[in-house]
Amino acid sequence: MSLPHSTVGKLAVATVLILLLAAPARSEDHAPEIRFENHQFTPQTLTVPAGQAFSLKVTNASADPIEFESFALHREKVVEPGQTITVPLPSLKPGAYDFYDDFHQEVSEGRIVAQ
Amino acid sequence: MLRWEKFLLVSFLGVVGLLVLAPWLSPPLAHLASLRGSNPPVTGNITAPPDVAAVLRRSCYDCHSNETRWPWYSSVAPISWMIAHDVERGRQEVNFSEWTAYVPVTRKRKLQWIERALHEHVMPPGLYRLLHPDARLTEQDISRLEHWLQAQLAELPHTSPHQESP
Repeated sequence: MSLPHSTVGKLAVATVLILLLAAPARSEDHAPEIRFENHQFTPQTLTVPAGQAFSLKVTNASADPIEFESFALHREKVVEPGQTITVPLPSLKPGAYDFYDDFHQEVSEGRIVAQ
Repeated sequence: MLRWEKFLLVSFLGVVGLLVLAPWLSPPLAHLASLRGSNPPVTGNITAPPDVAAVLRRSCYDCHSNETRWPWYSSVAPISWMIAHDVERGRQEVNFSEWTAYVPVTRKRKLQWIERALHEHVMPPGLYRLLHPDARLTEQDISRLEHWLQAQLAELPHTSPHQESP
């Protein structure tokens, strides 16, 4: 596919590219976040809109690796100390979805509530 | 450039690249090398009927227990790094040799994940099955495991409810 020759055409292509690149960044900037620190998740209960796909940020502010895991959400991911991961999630039906740190069974589980 | 000259050039660049990256690669590779051949003690083995235990040992224990069988090629880099990494991750996910250390809610989670892995046919992994054909799960093995898993899950105390998968 060759680029358009006209200036207007090039501007249009550039605009589309910028919008495509910017869209994910915008969605991640507003992504809800769960933070792991002092052997607990904060917040313990995260409320999200039901019926909308979204990305979840998980930050491990502790000194040990954790595994963010949720059987209900079908997600498991190791998060190294100091690391922030982004977990894409589909639109959720209304309800509660538990998550936990699979590496530390003494850590209280948290919950994502879709409503 | 002739083909053999290109090959030599690529090989040379590869060696140079490894030398440059060595300071960053050394610690994780040293860690993986230390895992190779190491089997921590069995502190609390899972209890299961003999036929179920046999399937677990044959198909799961190499990565998910402290009774890993380390074949000769597990001493040969770079495949040794991959095997050590898989064993480390496998033990982190579920370790049948330390099953009694799991509290009931943890056991329930792990049994649920095992059941899911069976349904989705993701365990044992394809490459492992290629190297260990005897580890392949037959339909009878899967059925046997599923019945046992259901019985185990039914015996565990009911924990906080979770929504089914969206």
